[in-house]
Amino acid sequence: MLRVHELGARLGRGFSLEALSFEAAPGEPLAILGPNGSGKTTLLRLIAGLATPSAGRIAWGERVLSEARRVLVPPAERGVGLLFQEAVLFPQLDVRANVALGLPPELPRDEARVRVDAALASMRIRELASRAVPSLSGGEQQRVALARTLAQRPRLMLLDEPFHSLDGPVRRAIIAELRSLCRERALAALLVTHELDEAAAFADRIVLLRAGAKVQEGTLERLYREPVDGWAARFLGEVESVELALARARAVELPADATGERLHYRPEDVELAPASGEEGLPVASVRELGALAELALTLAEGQLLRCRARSAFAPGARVRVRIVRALPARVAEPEGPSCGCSSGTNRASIK
Amino acid sequence: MRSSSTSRTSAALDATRVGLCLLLLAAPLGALLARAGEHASGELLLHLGRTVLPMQLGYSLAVAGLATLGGLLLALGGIGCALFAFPGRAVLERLLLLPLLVPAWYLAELYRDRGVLDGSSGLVAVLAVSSAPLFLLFAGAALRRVPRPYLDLLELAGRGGPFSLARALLPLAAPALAAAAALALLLAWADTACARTMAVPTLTVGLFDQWFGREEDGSGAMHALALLALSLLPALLLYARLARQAPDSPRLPPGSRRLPLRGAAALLPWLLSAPQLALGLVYPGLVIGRWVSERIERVDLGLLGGDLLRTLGLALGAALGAALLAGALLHARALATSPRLAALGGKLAFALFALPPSVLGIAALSLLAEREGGRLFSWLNATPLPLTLALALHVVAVFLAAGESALKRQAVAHCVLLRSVGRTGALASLSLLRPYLGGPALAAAAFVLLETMKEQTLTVLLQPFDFGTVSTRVFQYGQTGQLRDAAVWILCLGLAGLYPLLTIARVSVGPERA
Repeated sequence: MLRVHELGARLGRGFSLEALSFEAAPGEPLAILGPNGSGKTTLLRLIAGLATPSAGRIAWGERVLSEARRVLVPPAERGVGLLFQEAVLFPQLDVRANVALGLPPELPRDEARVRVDAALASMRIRELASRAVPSLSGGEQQRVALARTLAQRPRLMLLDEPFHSLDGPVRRAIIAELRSLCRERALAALLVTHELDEAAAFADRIVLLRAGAKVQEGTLERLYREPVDGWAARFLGEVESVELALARARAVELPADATGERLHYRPEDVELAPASGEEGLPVASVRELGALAELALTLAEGQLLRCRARSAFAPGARVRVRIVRALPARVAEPEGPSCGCSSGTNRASIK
Repeated sequence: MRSSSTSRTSAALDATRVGLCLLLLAAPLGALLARAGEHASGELLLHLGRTVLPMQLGYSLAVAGLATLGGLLLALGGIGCALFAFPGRAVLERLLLLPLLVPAWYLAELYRDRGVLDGSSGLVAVLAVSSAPLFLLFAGAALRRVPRPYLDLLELAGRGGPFSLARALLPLAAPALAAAAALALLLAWADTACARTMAVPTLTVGLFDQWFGREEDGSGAMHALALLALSLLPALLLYARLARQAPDSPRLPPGSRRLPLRGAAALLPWLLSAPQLALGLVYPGLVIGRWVSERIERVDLGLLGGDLLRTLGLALGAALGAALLAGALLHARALATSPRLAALGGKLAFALFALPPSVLGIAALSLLAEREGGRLFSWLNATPLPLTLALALHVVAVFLAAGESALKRQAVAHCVLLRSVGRTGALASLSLLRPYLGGPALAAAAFVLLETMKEQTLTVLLQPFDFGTVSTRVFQYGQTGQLRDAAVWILCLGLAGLYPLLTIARVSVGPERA
């Protein structure tokens, strides 16, 4: 098991990782989620032994790999496989030679051939073995990179936004394959990304990072439903709010535990039903988003209640509204320390 | 309507500007062809073919090829500086650039005078020492651009040793190495002064003797054309290589680390660099230092100062002229409406780089002046203008190479954007592209300054009215066997070249990395 304890790193321009702690168990994919500049890639380089921490400790089980100002185990001896944002293939080598590059140089030639063949077969790209790199598509290149990583037989996979350059179907296929490989081979795997979609598809558990510090850790469901503050809530998805008194006055059904002046909720945690006569709220506008539609309902003059629903209603129709679930009141709190990085809302959400 | 009319006017102006560039570049070649047509005949060609040409051609090819190979081998240690961290790396990297400060022809004279090197082997050694820094600059800059994940990957796979790393990464720098090799080949091919000093009968020496020694113009022109025809291949290779540079990946961080060399391996770059340091720096440095200390009291500082000022003025003029010419061609190629004409201009410029500067100067300007009976162009000979123009034409390829490479590598999308929003005016677009072109242009200017300050044959041949430069003064000293007196001039030339050299080092080799 990978154990990161109170890890710190100073990287110039005032940027640092601060007292970061988490664990990654074999067979349990973990995602480090955070905005650009939050220290995700630095964290991977520290774990791989490519950079030296200024504080804390990185260990595999009981064996310490790095500690403050010391790299105790060199990168090549850590059993780490690293996948980058791009495939990082050498254009002068064919696919087979690129995969073989991941193997220890001292490995006997026959054994190396067997391991390369096995890795190519596991990624279902044996037919590409003698192809030149420039002739491969983006998805094929990333599969070759993955085969190279698997050929290393790592115990820990470090994934630095490797799906970034892939289109939707290829991305989904490779994420699914990686996830099942991690489970089958009991690999510890760490994905760093700023995309909630990727983290959700790949990982069982997520560590949320901001400005080099851990904000929250847990399952996606927990992070999404119980964010520690307003920044976390908004980074993980959209947050809407409504004045409680006004909502009650307009017969909006609210959760039983709704208290305070305003209620914060996720837009998809709203249920709508057709209303008749003067019941319910009028639909002010509708925007189709594919499976869902985004609706704005008129609460009062100049005040809208926004939500997402599967059923589309035409503008002008009246609907009964029920907010199923509320976010904790703490999401109204200030967003915490500025990290000089993007804190834009991640558009993905739990479906 | 108005917009269309403005666009047509702009296109016409653009085509005119590129046409003028083409005329300037093609004039020397046209003059050369005209002179060959006037004097040469089939009989003369056959005669040359039966007598001197094969031998001279053989020497030229062998010397250029071996000097290029030698330059690459001597630069191996320096190339290691781009990949590895080891004690004294930054010092070694800069020490290896210092031989650029000493003219190759002076090195040849020094080694011959001391009886250390002579003949063909001596010529190959001197030219190799002079071309080695080119490999260091080109390969260093290319390897610095290799994205960091490639290094990370090799280190993780346990392939961070010198040989594994070099084998994996050097092919990524292949275009840059090929460009450096083509440049070194062209420099060795066009060399006259070193070959004459070492008494090696190359094609350029034959050309020099025929044209300037015996004043046999026809034979000289035939030599020049043979030289040009054979130069085209490496020149076009260089041009094609620059056009084929792979763009950097915008998503991968650029190289920002070197892998550490530990133990005995840390000595490897120093050991590999030892021949280059000894031949290009330590031995000539010691000899020049001793000669300077012997002669320093006899130096006429006024004369030295004047020579240095004229040298710097000439070099700055040549750099400015070449930059303007290259800027017009680059702008036309990247943004304006005549990319084909500009590409043709680029090829001509690379062909000119393969010709000895002396031939360019004589072919382009002196011939024109003579042909007009001394009335129309004779005033040119009374000024340093012909010299400046000839030097500018000779080095325009260096600016073009740097600019083309930068545009291909980094600014393709920016060029498309500027075209799409109609910001194609020369000043506006080049200033917007300055972040991409600035560094390479600065490195090219520094390289041109260094090379122009050191140029000898053309400077000597075209100094009609006592326009003395450091090169001409050293040549005069050399003619009278006063090589020791020339040492002070050479030392000052080296000191004057330090700033351009440091600029090249800063731009191409780069600052210390994390």
